[in-house]
Amino acid sequence: MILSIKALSVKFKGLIAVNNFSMDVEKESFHSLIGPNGAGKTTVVNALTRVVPSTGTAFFEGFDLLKMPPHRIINVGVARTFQNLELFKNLTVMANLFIGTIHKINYNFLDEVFNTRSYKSEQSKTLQSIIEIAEMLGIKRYLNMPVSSLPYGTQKLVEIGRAVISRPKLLILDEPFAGLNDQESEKLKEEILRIKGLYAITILMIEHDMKIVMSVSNKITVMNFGEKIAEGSPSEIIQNRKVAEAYLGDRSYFRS
Amino acid sequence: MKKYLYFIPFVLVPLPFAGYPFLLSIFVLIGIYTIAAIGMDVLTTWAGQISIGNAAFFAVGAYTSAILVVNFHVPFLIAFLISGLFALIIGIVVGLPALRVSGFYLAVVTMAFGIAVQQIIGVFQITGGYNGIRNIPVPSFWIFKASPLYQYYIVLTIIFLIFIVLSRISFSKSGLALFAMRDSEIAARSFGINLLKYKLAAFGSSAALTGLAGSLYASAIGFISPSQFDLTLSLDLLAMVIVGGAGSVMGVMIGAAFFVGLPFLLSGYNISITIIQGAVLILILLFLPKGLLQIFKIKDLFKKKVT
Repeated sequence: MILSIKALSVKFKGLIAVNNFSMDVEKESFHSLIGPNGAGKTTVVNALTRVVPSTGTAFFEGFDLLKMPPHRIINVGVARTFQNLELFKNLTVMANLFIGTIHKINYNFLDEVFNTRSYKSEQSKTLQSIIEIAEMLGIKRYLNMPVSSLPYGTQKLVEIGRAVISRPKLLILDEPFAGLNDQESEKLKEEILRIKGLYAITILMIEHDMKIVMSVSNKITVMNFGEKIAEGSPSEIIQNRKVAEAYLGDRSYFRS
Repeated sequence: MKKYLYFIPFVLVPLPFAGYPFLLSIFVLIGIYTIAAIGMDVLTTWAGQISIGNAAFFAVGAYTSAILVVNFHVPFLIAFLISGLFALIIGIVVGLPALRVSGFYLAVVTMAFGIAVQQIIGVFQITGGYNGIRNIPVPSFWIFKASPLYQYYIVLTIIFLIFIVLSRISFSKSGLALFAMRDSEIAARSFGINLLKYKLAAFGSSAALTGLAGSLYASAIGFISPSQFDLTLSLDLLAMVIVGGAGSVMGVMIGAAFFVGLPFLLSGYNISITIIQGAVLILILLFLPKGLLQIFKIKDLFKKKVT
């Protein structure tokens, strides 16, 4: 077990977005978090990465994420992507990937100004890892282009690359397949599975595309109205009546 | 190395005018304002913060330096460094509200600060009240002698040093952390960037640069009073960045030349300088949204717009 969430609650001025939510994520598993729109899935992730304040505990390898300052989360090995792309849009792909490694860089301002040896060696090490990741994701030829000039699918790859280059233990993906066509989805799925295998990453994914969720997940947690309503393997979830009801009883959702 | 070659024209420019000290002193002023405008550029274009109170840092630098030199006979070099340091500290304090407010609200907060500083300076005895400080001696010390040509090269050297530092940090941890904060605070934070630290650093370094410029200004002009550091100066500093070309030392230099040099150029004629400046400002924003620097990249002008 790499992440253990206990009694997580998030309130927005009286509105209870997440209520007493508990969930365990197994090490190196592919865990999906699903539920109808407004169920509170993104809010759970935002609470874990300290974007929104919350109560409860979320132990990740001995650290309570909910007690940490937001900029420290990445240091314990939790990286994420965002639902509506939070890329550094005026910067190039290379700069975006660079920022993914920024928490690991040790040199200080004076090293930069005087181009010291430690600066040069760290800088070339960073550039090497950027090229490595870019090659793996097939975005090497975009490295010097501003991200805002790239097609949406490629921007998504850059965002995943930025998270992966930080070498996380847990990668949280917030609707990575939204807005992609079937072909792009298939390609992205391959990439994510390959990265997961390569770096032995645990993945927690929020996603609406049931076909993909069912095909990649080891475990699925279903939320509705801020609470957990079901949890289990893909086959258990397909059979679950409460889940079917949450999705307006539309069973065709789960035929794949 | 190629980027350093852009400075060669600036080294050569004053030589034909060596016999015209007045012209040279305008060049010196342009250089001094460039330093202050770079301070504004770092804050806005690099860190994505806004300030329309930077004239206050300019004033802090100018007064600190002038008081130290006139009242306490401190050597100019030391007064120069102290005024930068003092502005830095005040800049960090002014940066504190930026942790809670942004955009228009931050603009208003910094504006209030700028106006407050101007009023406070007017009240005290040591600052000379609203009459200001007169006869600030031109330092005999080697760093800033009376000869305008000498001053020009000193100022140019300072700009050059700032340029080297900025270009070295622009693709390193500190520069990219500021850029990241500008483009998305949420993403920057989840990638380990401490917003508190970098916002304060941005305000601090912006204030320090502006303060150093203020110190040079006091010595170059020889007379300071609160009315020189009004809201217009803050807005001019902001406009210099936009007019010249945000995010580039060259662009900022052009912006400063436009705002400082043009009034002198037109002072002989019976034209209202504000009308011309205003009209040019609008034209630039319409046709050269990336600033006057765009003229030098003519190829870009004929490219199709990709948005």
